[in-house]
Amino acid sequence: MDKTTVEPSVVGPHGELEETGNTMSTTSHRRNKVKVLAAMTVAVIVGSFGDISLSRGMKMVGAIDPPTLVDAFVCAATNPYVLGGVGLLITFLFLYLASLSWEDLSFVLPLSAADYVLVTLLAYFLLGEDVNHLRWLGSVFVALGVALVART
Amino acid sequence: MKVAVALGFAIIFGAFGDILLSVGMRRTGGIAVSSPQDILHAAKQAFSSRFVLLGVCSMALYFASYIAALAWVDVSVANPMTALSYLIASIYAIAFAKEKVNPQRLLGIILVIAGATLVGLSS
Repeated sequence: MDKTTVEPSVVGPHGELEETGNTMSTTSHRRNKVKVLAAMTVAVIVGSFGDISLSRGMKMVGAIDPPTLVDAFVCAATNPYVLGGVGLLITFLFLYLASLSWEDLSFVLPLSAADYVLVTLLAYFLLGEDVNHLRWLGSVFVALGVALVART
Repeated sequence: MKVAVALGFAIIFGAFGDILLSVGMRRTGGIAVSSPQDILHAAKQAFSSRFVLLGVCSMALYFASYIAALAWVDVSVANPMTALSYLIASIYAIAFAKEKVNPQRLLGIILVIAGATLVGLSS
């Protein structure tokens, strides 16, 4: 996770910038991490609410069957909760992409893993989903797993 | 069955999307946003990469599969299930990007599989 492991993947104008001085590149590297932490905190909150909004909207659209696919698409595309959810997830995607341009996936992805627990929490409190012990444990396992997978 | 197919597609396209976006964004270099115009410039910069474009297409397919699944199942089931895409991404990283399998990563994959199984059993 240190400069040495990141540098080989940095090419072009970014690489030239980092060669100006060791202390400077270390400072800018730390500033990048703070920037990514802030961006990903906002991203996870926005993205989780996006998932909740989408779920509420799609439950209104109802079950999708092949013969009614077009109707379901129109219904989904005009549902305010689905549209709101899409908007929130686009915001998430922008923050996520920006973070990926500043830092490695191995730093960004573990931060986004918090999303799995937050979505389950919000689904329980806002949507009244029946989240039992098994599902709580499962979502915590998944979040920890994702954080570990990426953190190399 | 329908749910399994939709979630399966979501998992596969999600994995491809992540891999392509990651490769693409690292190639285009850092984004520096200090004015609204920079956002447009950053978008142009990102979309000039074929990897980013393919990644976005893959993410769109992931999204369609995912919201179709949301019409049938709870979001507290569908959302953790999509994490199985990291299983695919890890297989890619190990098999094609020749990354090492360290114990940490292995434990992570096991936790994701265990978690997804628990979530699946809970519904």
